[in-house]
Amino acid sequence: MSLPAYEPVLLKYANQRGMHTLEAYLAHGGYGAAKKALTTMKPAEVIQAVKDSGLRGRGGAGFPCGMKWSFVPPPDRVPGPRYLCVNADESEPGTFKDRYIMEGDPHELLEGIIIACYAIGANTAYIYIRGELVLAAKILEKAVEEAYRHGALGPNALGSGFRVDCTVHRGAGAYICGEETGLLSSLEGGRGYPRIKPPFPAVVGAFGHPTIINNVETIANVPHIIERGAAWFKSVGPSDDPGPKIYCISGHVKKPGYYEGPMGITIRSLIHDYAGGMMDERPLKAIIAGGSSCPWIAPDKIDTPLGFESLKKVKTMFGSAGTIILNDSVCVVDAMWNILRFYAHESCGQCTPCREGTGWLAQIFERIEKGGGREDDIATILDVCDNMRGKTICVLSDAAAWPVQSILDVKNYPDAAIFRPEVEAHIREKKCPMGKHAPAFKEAVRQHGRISPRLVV
Amino acid sequence: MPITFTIDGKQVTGEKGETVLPVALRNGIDIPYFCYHPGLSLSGNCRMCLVRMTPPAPPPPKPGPDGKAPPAPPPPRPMLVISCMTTIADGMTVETKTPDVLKAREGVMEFELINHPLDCPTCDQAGECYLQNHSYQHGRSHGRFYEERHMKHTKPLGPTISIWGSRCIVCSRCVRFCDEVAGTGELAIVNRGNHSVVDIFPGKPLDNPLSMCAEDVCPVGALISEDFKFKARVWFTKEQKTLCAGCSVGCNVDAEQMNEEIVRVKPRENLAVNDWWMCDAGRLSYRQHMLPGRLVDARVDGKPATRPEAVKEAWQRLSSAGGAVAGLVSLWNTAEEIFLFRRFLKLLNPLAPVGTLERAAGERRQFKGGFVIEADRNPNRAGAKAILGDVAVEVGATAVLKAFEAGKVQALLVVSSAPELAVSPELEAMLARVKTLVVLDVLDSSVAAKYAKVRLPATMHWEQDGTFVNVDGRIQRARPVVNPPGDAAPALELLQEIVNCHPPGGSGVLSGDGVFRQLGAEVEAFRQLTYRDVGDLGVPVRVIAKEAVKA
Repeated sequence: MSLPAYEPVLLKYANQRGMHTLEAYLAHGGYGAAKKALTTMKPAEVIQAVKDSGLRGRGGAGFPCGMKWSFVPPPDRVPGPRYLCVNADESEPGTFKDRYIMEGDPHELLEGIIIACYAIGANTAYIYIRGELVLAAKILEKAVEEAYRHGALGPNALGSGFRVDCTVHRGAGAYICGEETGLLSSLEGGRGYPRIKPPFPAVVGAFGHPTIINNVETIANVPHIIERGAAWFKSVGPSDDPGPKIYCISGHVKKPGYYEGPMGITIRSLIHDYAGGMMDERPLKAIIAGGSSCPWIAPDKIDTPLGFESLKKVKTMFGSAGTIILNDSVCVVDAMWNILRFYAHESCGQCTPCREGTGWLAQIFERIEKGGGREDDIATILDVCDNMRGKTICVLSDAAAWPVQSILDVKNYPDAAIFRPEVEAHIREKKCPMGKHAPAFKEAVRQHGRISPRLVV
Repeated sequence: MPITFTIDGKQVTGEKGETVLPVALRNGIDIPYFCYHPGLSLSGNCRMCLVRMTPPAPPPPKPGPDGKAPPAPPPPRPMLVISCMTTIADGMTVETKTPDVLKAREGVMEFELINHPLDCPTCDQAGECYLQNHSYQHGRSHGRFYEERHMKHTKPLGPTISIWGSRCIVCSRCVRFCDEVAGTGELAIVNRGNHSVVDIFPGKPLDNPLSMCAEDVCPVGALISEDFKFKARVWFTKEQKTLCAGCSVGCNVDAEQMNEEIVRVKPRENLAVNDWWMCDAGRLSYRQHMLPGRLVDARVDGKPATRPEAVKEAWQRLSSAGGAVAGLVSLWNTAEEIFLFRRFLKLLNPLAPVGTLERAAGERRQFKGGFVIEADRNPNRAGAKAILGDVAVEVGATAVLKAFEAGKVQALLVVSSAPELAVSPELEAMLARVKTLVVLDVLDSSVAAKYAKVRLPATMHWEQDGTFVNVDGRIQRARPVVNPPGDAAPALELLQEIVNCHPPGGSGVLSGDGVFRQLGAEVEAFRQLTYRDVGDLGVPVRVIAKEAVKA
């Protein structure tokens, strides 16, 4: 197969060296869309254009962007400032798209911010950037400085008389600060604790004022919608779920990385056309379609198009498009333990079910992997998952439970039928059939003389 | 306008803006919770109070311009929500006993306990622990946790409080208390996930005047007060509703005694006085009753005497002074005692000078949450003013001193139940020189007791019935928590016994309530009140210091 004909939109310039400067951006017509929006369109028209385009949030939930913007209450109902927060706290395992926009084409993001601020009536924008993305933060800070000097940001943005200020705020490295209300808590200087919704941030957000929080990629799409029109946007990819999209693919493929394409390419196309096929030509074992929190799907779903609606039909999610491909060298229990360790480490510790449940699940999977499985473990795991799901302030708890349920809960996830026997084998044989962790486990027993007395039953 | 909704099939009403949990608790519907506290902001993190809520059905759609009604929206679906943060709405339905709610509770209980050390036998919270109580009612009968438990730090957080981190359920009540009520913000939650635990910033201990309330709000045994640590099992202690006499606020407290010793004092909810809080100094003031040097026997001219002998001697010496008597009473005595004191002196000489003794003032402190420690460290100044008159209280002992210097005082009666009093050199000189000094006091360190010719051991407010009037003019009742030591008896009884020596003599000694009724008959501020009216939470005085207006 060959790549479908597609002209990159988001990463057209980002992939070229040295295109992150203001000169380069202006040279190919940069800030034209923002000027058009701020000088010739009304805010409501901008929102309508984004609504018409069908742009859905690229951060994970896939919420229609224009509709989100329209939730900001009018000034006569809720006076005071409005804020735009750009969620650049990209930390979902398997996802690494936003950083390339910020590193390669930061002014594309800034232009989107100016337009979005104008649309929702915000004079201040914050870019909440993940602490580990040092290079991206430096480039962004420089770009903001350049934009101020150029007059794109500041009291008179692009000569329109509209004020836009932009601040780059570096996080301290917590996955939970990518959750929108956790982001707000952290931005305000507090602990990154998610808040209870309602009230939604669009009504009570940063510093108690209406706030819109959008993903970097979502905002980066906005200038192109304004420039080329909603109809063009709708023509890219399937019309019910349109737009250009940056896919991240990692795991056992020949060329893992980020690729831009239209929405709705199939998983098969992503693996074989973009990423060069399976590593070592070994067979596919499992697909994690949209980042580590998505339920796993079986190899027979390889022809599913990558999109918010299409993946929902196979009981998983598009998430942040961080596709992880696992081949047959992977032990299901080992991989799940790895994912759960992440959630146990990143749970903010606020709600009881998540604080204790994520750690517990990780411990059980560790024990099973190391040969201490018990017959009632699977029933316990599923019950713990059930106690974790939908009972907490944010969805981190659910995100940890989904992948686990997707490999064990045959009733709700038919694909679990192909993963569950492997977990059962671990428990039955009291070791990893693939021999993953047995030596280390035995070594630990030898060194410490004992482990928890109940670990091996 | 009140809002009506349904909980478990029962129609209940609440005010606009209230949330489900307090309304349910008020109506006798039990919803378990950990992190909710009526005096703190809502955090909604323990997830124990999950209930099944069905939002009110939306109104049927209005017909459009074509006369046809659009299709009705689907009926609202029930969902699990936390009742502490769900605002009540007209027509909403709440269920607290459905299988999904019970399962969610059981799940939360299991999560709370998997990393809990279950060290109830050595935990001071045992017996009054939310985890224990909820576990009996809502928990599983057996555990499924076969992994290693996480251990967290156990260390002092400050001079008054230590943390047993492994017991902590991270409900954040203590953190919110320090942020919102004390306003000092020493505590924070550190680390993430199941390593989360309450801690302080290094070098910034939990050290504020309200710090021990952090232990009160802790629903489990994570925060332990150094004062109560390993002292008593709570089911062996007996609780009594009384007052703190540390300042003129008069915080309502529950004092607990074991083996005739007070082991702990906790603030008692009274929204008109102290809300749910009290200061550390007041909380630890129970130690007064165990101070060394308590007076336990009666003395006449330094020699031991029985109580009847000493009472008789006191009457004879005071009544034989030919009306040249004066009296001093402390502002720590109850309204009943001050009333009896005044009546007795009037009996000897209607114009006898009276004065008051008081404890030196401290610093007034107001905290972020509105809690106040008053500068006036005497519990009954307002009561004394209502009975003796404003002027007598304001001038303290001056009137008596003047009368003494003018040679008009041969005999002096001093009544005190205060553990410490400010005594000026002039006052001490008078006490040393006055011909007859009859003293009812509690400690041998007291200056009056040192010079007493007749000395009777009295009691502190922890050991007797009586009422105090606080700074806001609220009459509140103290109750005996422990019995008095030795021969000590309340001044309430001693003063009546002395009066009973008045020919033709009498033998009746009224209880606190009896004297309080007499007080109500004579003093306007207490008019027609009884102990029953005062109750546990107190009542405002009828007329504040009306006698002072007359004067």
